[in-house]
Amino acid sequence: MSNLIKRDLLLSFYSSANFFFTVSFFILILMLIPFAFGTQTEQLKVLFRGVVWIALALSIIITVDRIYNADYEDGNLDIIMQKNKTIEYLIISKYITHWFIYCLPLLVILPVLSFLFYLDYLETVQIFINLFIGSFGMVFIANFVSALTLGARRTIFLKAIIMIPLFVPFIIFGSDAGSWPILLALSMLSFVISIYVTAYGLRLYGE
Amino acid sequence: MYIKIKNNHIEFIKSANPYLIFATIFAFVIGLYYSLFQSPPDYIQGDSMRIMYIHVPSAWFALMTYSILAGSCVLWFITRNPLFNVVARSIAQVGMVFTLMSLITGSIWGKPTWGVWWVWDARLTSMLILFFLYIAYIFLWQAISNKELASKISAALAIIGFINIPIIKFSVDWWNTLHQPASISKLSTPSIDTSMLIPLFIMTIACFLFLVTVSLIRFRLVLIENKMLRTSN
Amino acid sequence: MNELLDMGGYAIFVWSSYGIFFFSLVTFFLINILNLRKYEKIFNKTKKKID
Repeated sequence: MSNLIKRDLLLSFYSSANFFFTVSFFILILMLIPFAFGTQTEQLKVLFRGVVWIALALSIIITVDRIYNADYEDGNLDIIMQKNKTIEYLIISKYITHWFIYCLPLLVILPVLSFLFYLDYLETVQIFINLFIGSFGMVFIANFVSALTLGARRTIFLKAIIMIPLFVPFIIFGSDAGSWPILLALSMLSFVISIYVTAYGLRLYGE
Repeated sequence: MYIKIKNNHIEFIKSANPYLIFATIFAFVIGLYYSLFQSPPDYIQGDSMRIMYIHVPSAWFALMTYSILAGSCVLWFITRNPLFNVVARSIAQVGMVFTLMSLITGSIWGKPTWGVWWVWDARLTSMLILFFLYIAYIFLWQAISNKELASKISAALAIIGFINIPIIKFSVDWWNTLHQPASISKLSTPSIDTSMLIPLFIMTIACFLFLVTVSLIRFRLVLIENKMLRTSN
Repeated sequence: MNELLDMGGYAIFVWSSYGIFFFSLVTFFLINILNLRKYEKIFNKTKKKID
């Protein structure tokens, strides 16, 4: 399994999805808040909590095509499935790498962003914890949607239509500071569903 | 018991079609008469209450159709009988129309009655999500070219969506109790008088007949589409 | 008759909602039944050619 993780991370370093671009994406989306809504301090503090979740959801939705599609089209998926009897190792490695590449930058840059949006230390920690827990759940969901829709070409908006209703509970509870237990429960539930459904989808397409 | 669709079944549905259409139109005419003329206007809401007679059946059938869709997909996964797949595909569009109608008529009813076109409470948000679930089911089936695969994938997503609806309803309820937006809880409908129950009942029957009629038409349509897909491969 | 058209001042709301409702239902019904007739014609024609 560590080989698979290494492979995916190396692929991402050599491709266009590197750390600086992802960080810039998040900073730029959050930068739109003062342009769109005005620069009053109180308003910025309230809006930041919500829009940071929207930015996370957007980054996951935009990159949902990159999880399994490249391997599927190259035929690597069949090879990996024949080599490993249990496909769950591939799936877990995909969870880890997808989270690493597209969610971790937001968590890393969060202290800087909260400084820009006038949030104090306690609020930042609350948002960080919620984002940490909820981002895993959203990555799980994106993985199973990607595995189920491998054959559909150029349907990123259709996948967004499927994924956003599934993200809604995460965003509802995520933007509220004291709900991390419910977020944890949601993430665990989505992990269970996702492992099963992703394995089912990959086996469907692998035959 | 493996239910196989034979030609005499299709002939029976085909011959029942004119009767069903006639019954639907008849029920709608009676329902319209009762809802527009015969029943009295509401004391508080006035004549705008009449929109309830088309809004409530639409909402009921939107939810009921999705339950039938999800249940049919579950049965298809368990038994692999293609009949259930055909049933699911034939009622999906009908359910989408009913959801859209309940959203639009509910919005139009809300403006004079409660002053707003829309409010983000649990029921309305769940209806909006339900609309997108129907859209996802219908268009996902069209997007995947291998139709065997498409059936399995859209069935899986229909079931996941069915699980998602109570989660969303619970989440939005919880969020609303926390954040207390201004105008919500007035949306509970007042207790219904018998003079209003009769038009509601008749319109419900009319909508049900419409559901059955169009579902059976789409049933035949889906069967022919399946045959054409098989012969073209 | 006037009272019916006026609907107690809510005329535009009631009539627009009933209008949209029945228009959509009828349109949906017509789309499906016309598609069905079209496909049945094509299917029967090809079936006759095969037989």
